[in-house]
Amino acid sequence: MRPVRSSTTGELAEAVPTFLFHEANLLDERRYADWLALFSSDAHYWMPCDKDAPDRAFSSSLIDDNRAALSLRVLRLQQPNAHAMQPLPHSCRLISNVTIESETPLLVRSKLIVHEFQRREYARDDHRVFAATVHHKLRIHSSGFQIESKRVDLIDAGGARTLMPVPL
Amino acid sequence: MTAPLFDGTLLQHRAYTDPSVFEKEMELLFGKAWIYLGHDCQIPEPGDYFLGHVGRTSVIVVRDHDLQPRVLENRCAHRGPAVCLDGRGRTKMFTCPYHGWTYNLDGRLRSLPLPEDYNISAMKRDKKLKPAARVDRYRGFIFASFCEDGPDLREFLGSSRAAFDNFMDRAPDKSMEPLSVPLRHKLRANWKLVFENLNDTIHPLFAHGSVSSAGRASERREELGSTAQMLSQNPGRLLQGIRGVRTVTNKFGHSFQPGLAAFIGAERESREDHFAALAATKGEHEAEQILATDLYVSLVYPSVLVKPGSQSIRIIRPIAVDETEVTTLFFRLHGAPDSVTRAAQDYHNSLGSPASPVLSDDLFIYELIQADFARDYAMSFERGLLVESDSADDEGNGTSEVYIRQQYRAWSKYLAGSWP
Repeated sequence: MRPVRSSTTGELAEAVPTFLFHEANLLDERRYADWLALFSSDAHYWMPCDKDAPDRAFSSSLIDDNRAALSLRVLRLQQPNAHAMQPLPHSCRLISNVTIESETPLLVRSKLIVHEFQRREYARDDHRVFAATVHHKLRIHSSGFQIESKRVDLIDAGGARTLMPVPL
Repeated sequence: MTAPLFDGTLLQHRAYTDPSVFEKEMELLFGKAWIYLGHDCQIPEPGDYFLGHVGRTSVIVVRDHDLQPRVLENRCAHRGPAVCLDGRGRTKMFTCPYHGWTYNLDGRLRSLPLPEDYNISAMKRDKKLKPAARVDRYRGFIFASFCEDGPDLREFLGSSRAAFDNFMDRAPDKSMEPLSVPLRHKLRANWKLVFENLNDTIHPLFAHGSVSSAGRASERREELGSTAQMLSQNPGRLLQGIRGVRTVTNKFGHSFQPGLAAFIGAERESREDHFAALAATKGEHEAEQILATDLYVSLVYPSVLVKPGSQSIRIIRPIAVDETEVTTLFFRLHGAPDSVTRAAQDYHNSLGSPASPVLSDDLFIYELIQADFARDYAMSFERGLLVESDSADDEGNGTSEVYIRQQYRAWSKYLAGSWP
């Protein structure tokens, strides 16, 4: 494992993890509009089935969203008839191993564990666990960072999962 | 004597919950019907293989030296472990991880350590990987049956052959290739719920209503892919179109709805590019006929859904009475422009992923249904029954549950030990 490079300023080494924690909190708190606002207008969110796929356009993806599709995705979660969100799931995102891989462009790799819980009065409660390596490409923006691209490599991307309505 | 599980319109909940019914399905339905496994293009060279399932049985589908596809049970003849552990690859032989028995591509025993200790010539056991009773292909699509006799594959597919024809006809160079990694999802529910759902044209208006309302409310709708645009249409407009479509079924439980894609707006901008590529090799008349052939989702009971227009195949694999795995494979058509592949890929990702706003609601509803069958409950498949003409027990309008009634007529025959 490479440590944070010595050229990385202390400020960046502190600000980047703080930003990732903030992003995770927005999803855990179901503040989807605020979460979406972290993405640039030309942003892209990718969750591949095959992390070694040579060409995104011709490979299976769990999520392959431009900003408009990401917006539709989170707008849907807030519709009263988004059945998979009833009742609303609770989640806890844990981010660790944050590594700044490059400063220009600003590329960040982190590890993510998500535990989601949904109370089901009518059946067994549902617990869903996700583990992934996440790659962020960030842009420094007047109000902090903006996400230009986010790529989530689930460890079981090639496996068969049950529903995952909320993006990680 | 107990009442039948299916009485023509109602299906008792035990069909979804009783492990003994599931065992019967594995033996009498999946152990008899032609089960879909894959396509020739997945194993172009001798030694190429992939793993599939016939019911719960893991099988190796391998190209033999004589270029025939073999379907072999993935289980050592000696003490039972799988002899092939990778989902796909190329090999010269299969080697058991337990005691090192090796098998040729046709399943015959090739060699084993300490042959004198096994006294191989006197062994009672049939010393090979057990082949499927029958293997056949239609337009390169490979099926196997574990039953020696019964209808051949062409007869079994019947009018549903059109879906496989149209799938291949759409390739300007008459060939295709699979994407390396498929999309998969799992439902904690019975496999039959998938077959009940995928020619159900009414559920999208309700189950997926959140997608259409969010789509209509979204600010940058023009930047959405063609699939998301399709899904975010006005549901009322959709219903008008669907009523005009026919649902066609046959006695083996298969079904499709010709013309549905056009009604629901699943036609794509890439159609013109596709037409040009097809016309260049087949002429304009034939190209138009191919692209006008609209079979949307064809259900081939009990193992596969075929979507010629989106170049994808969904394989339904029952694991337990309340657990099912679904694998969606996507194919790139040789000679088709990239825009065609991209549009189909967008569709395939948008609808086949468990993270899909569409599929996640389906998975949720399957689990709702499976969750509490504990009481004396029967499912109702009566929609369309009273509005259909008397003769048409195999055909109905686009909103009818006639295809489900047909599935359970076939299912009842299989479970009684006969062919439909």
